[in-house]
Amino acid sequence: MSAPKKSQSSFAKQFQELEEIAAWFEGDAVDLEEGLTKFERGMTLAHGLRERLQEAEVTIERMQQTLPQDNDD
Amino acid sequence: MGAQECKSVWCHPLVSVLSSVLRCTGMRVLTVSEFLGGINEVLASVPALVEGEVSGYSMSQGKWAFFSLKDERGMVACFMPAWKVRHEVEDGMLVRVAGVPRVYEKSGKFSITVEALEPVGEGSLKRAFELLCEKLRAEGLFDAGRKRTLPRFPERIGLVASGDSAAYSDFLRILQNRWGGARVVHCDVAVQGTSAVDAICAALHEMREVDVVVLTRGGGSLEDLMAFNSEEVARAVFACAVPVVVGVGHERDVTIADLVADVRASTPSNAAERAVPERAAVASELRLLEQGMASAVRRAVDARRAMLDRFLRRGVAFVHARRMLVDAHARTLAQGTAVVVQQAHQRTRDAEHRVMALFTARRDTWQARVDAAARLLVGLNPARLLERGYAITTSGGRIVRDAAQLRAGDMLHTRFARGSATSTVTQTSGE
Repeated sequence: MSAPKKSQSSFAKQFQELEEIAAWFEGDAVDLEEGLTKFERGMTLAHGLRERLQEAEVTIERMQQTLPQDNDD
Repeated sequence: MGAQECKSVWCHPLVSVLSSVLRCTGMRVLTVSEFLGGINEVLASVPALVEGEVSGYSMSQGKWAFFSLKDERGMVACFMPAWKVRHEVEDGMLVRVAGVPRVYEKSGKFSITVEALEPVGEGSLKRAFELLCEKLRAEGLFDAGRKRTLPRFPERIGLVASGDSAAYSDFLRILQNRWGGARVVHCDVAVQGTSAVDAICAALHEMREVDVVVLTRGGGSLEDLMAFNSEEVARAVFACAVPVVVGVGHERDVTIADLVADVRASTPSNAAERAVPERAAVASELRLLEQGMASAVRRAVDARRAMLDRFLRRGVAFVHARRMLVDAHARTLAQGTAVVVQQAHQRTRDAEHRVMALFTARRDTWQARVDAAARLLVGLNPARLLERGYAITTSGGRIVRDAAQLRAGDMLHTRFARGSATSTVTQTSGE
């Protein structure tokens, strides 16, 4: 149960990291050496995120309702 | 006059009858309290369910609500604990109350002690809705400034809905289409009926380890949606630990829960659309990010190439300029050198002339000497000697000048003025 949580959690984080890298590239002076390192990381992130998008099933967990539903109070 | 009346009452024939009854049956006369107690016991066994128009509604010390219910022909007093009043009430509203009829001992006043009250009919429900809206708006529950932003990629989604409802299945269907792989924590609640309010409030309270909560149900009448217009649910949505999306009813239905929600969805399907992104849109955004990075890298490479080109051009220009300079120097140098060489050549030519003159003079001298020597040599020519009778004898290719060179048996070759002869040495002598 914790594995998909972790991957989901990392989705938001990884997407954010990717956005930050993309924002870095929008700056004025892009250093080529640093840019290539970041580009490689960005592409790896994008690949992982795209794989997550392929997931199809929704997982449903039932939460126990602590309150009796037919209670008139 | 009072004394006369009194006397006349006691002289009434009925009093005489009652006295006779009491004597015969053994019944006793009750005190007022005893009488009212008996009456209230009887009344307690007939719970009242009464519908009427509210009149004279007032709240005492925030603890008790007093009002009357009336219709065209009658009126009955009511009071109820304030905390049990779950709707906003005002005069003229048609309500239905459930409670116990009772005569209040101290005043002898008859009233209904109300346990539950609800507005009846569209008019009253709308009015109650409006009143609660005004109250909650004044408290700031609808303020745009307190609305929380939903997480863009929610990890766990709390779903408060009836598991049997179309709203539940619609929500999950759209969720799956848009954002497969999502995790839903579902709390199955009644969304209408007497338990709905408490169930929804408890579910909202318990939803803690989720990123967003979705509270949803399908459409219905104003009465069906009553739970979503209750103050308790409104406050529970407001107090929920995480942002809440409320999607109730059809697009035209607006409940108080909708107004308090951080995000209002028009339908259960729309709630799913508001709660999660669509994967195609995210995929497209990923593509844009990738393209942005790629073109930035390309631009950086182009910039580097342009820089190298500039550097190279500058280098070439520099070298060219240097070459021109060197060429200029070389030309200057060459011109200087030519003069020097010319002078040298001149000097050489002068020297040659001098040498030649000297050599010519010497040659003439030498020629005279050679001629004289030649003339002398003609006199010494061996052929002339041979003509005069001399012969030249050789042995082993060498001219024989001394007999001691020879041994007996050596071959001798003798050349004469004309012809030659070969002979063998037989003897030599020293003279």
